[in-house]
Amino acid sequence: MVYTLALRNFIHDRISLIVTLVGIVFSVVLMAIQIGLYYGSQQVITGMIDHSNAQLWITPIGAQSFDDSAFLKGGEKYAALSRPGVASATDVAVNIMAWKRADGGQQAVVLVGTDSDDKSLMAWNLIEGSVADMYKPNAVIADKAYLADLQVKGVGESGEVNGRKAVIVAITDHIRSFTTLPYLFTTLSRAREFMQLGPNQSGFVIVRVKPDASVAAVRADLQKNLRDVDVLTNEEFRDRSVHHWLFATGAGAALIAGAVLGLIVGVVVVAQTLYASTKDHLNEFATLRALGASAGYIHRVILVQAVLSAIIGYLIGMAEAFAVNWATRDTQLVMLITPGLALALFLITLTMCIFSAIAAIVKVTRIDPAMVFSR
Amino acid sequence: MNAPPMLEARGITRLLGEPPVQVQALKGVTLSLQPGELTLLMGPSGSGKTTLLSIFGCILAPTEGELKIAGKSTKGMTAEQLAELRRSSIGFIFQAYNLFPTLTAEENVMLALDVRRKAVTNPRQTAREALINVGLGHRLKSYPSKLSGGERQRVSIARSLIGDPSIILADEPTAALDGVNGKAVMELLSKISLDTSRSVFVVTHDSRILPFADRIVRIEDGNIVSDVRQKRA
Repeated sequence: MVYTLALRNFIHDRISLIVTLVGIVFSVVLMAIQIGLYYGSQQVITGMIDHSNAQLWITPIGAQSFDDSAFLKGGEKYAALSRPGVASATDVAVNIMAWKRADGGQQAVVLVGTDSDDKSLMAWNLIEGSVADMYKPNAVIADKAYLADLQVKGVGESGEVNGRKAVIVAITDHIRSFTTLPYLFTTLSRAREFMQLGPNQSGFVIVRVKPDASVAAVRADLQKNLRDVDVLTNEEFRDRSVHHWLFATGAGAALIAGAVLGLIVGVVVVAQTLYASTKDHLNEFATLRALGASAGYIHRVILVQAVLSAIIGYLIGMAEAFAVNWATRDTQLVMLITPGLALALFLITLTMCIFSAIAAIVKVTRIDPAMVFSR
Repeated sequence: MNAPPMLEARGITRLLGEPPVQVQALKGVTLSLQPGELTLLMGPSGSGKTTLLSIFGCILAPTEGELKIAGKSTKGMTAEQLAELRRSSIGFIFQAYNLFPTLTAEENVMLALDVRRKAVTNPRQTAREALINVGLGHRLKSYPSKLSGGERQRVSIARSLIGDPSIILADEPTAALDGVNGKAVMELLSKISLDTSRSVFVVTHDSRILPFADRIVRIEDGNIVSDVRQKRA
C-alpha cells in the first residue's frame, strides 16, 4: 500500500506534479546536454589522437594539442627509428592553413598530412570516395559537416590551400574539430608542399614500439636522446589536449558549471514541491502515525514519491535530450550521450530526488500525531 | 467484571503548553476500560476529554501517572514502541473521519491492514469483508469524496476494526452526522463492543448516544466527576 498511497499522492495534485516534473526534466535535459557536450568535446579533441594507432608521440616542446601548429625541427622520425625498441615512426604534418573559397573569401582549415604507406591517422568514417583517392593530384579529404564552410558541394569540387589547388576526392562523416576549423586530410608529401616544410620535417612523429619492448623504457630513451621535443604516451597527449581545450580555455568549466546549475535547479525544485506536497498531506501522515505506522513506513511513502518523480522526470528528460542530440547530429556541435552517461544521469537524478526528500522527511518526522484530533 | 481491564490509567496528569503559560489539562485521572463495554466520556469543551483520549491512544504521553494497555505499561516507551502498541492494540475513529482522499474505501481499510503488518492471505478480501460488515459492500470502490458522512464514518469504523485491535477509541464519532446516521454509527459501535475481547471508548458531546453506553464517565476541568454504569438500550 506504500506504493499505492505514494502514487496516488503523487498524481493527486496535478499542478504540483507538473511543477515537479518540469523541474526534474529541466535538470535532466540541462545536465545531459552539458555533460553530453563535455564528452562530445572530449571526443572531438582527442579524435585524431584516438585514431592515430600511436603508442608514443614525439611533439614540439610544449605542444598543447593535436591542432597545435608548431613544427618539429626535422629528422626526428629517423632519430627515433635508430633507437632500440622502436618498431615504426610516422611523420604527421599538421598546420592551420587558409582555404580559398569559391566566393573569394577564406576559411581557416587544419590540414593533416600522413605517410602514404602507413595506416596511422588515415581519414576514417568515409561516406564517399576512398583513402586511395588521396593519392590523386591535388587531392584532399573533407568532412561532410564542413562542406558548407568550404563552399563546396562534394567530391570533385575544388578550392585553394595557400594558393595551391586542392580537390575534394572523398568525404568523411563526423570528424569534427573542437575549434570548429575543418580538418582536411592529404598525403604527407602534399601537406609538406602546402606547408612549405623541409623533406624530413613534420608536426608530430607517431611511434609504435616493438612487441617485446616496454613503452615506458622506449619513451624514456627517446626523451633522453632526441633534442627539443616532448615524448608523450598516447594517454598523456590525450590528457594534455583535453586539459588545454577544456580547462585552460575555461570551456569545460563552463559546461560543467551548466551541469551543476542543472543539478541545483533540480534539487531546489524537487525539494520545494515534495515539501509542499508533504505539507498538503500532513494530516494524512499524522493519521498514518496515529494508526501506528512506523516512521520508516511514512518515510517510505515520501521516498517512493521521490523515486517516482525521478523515474518519470528522467525518462521525459532523456527523451528530450536524445531529441536535441538527434536534431543537432549534423551540426558542428558534438553531443555524446553514452550508455554510461545515461546510467550516471539516472543515478544522479535518483540521488537528487531522494536528497530533495530530506526536507519533507524532516517535516514529517516532527509531525504531532495529536493533530488528528484537531477540529 | 472480573476480566482484566483492556486499558488501565492511574493518576494521569498532563500539562499542556510551555512555561509560564502552562495548563494542567488532566489532574490525576484514574480509569480502566473493561472488555465488552462501551464507555462514553462526556464533558464540556476544555475539560480534558481529547487529551485523555490522546493519552489512551498512546499519542500523548502523560506528564505523570501510568498507563497500561493490555497489561503493558507505556512508561519509558519510545515513539516507535508506542506506534507498535497502537498498531497491535488500538483502533481509532475520528470525528473528521481522516480517510485518505486518494484511496477508495477498500484501499483505506487495506492501508490500515498494511500499517498493522497483519499477515493475511488476501488483504483486499479481508478489507472487503470488513466493509461488508459495516454495511458498505456496495461502496467498496468509492472514494471518500463520493461517500456521505455516515458512510465515511462507517469506513472509518471498518478501518479501526481491521487487524482486530482490543481497544477502539472514538473521537466524537457522531458529531458531524445527522440523527439517522449518528444512530446507525452508534448501533454499529454498540454491536462491536459486545465482543468481549474488545473495549470501546467514545468521547462525545452528543447526549443522543447515551442509551448506547454501558458506562458514562463525566470529566470536568481535568477531573473525573462521575462514573456511572447503566444497562444499555
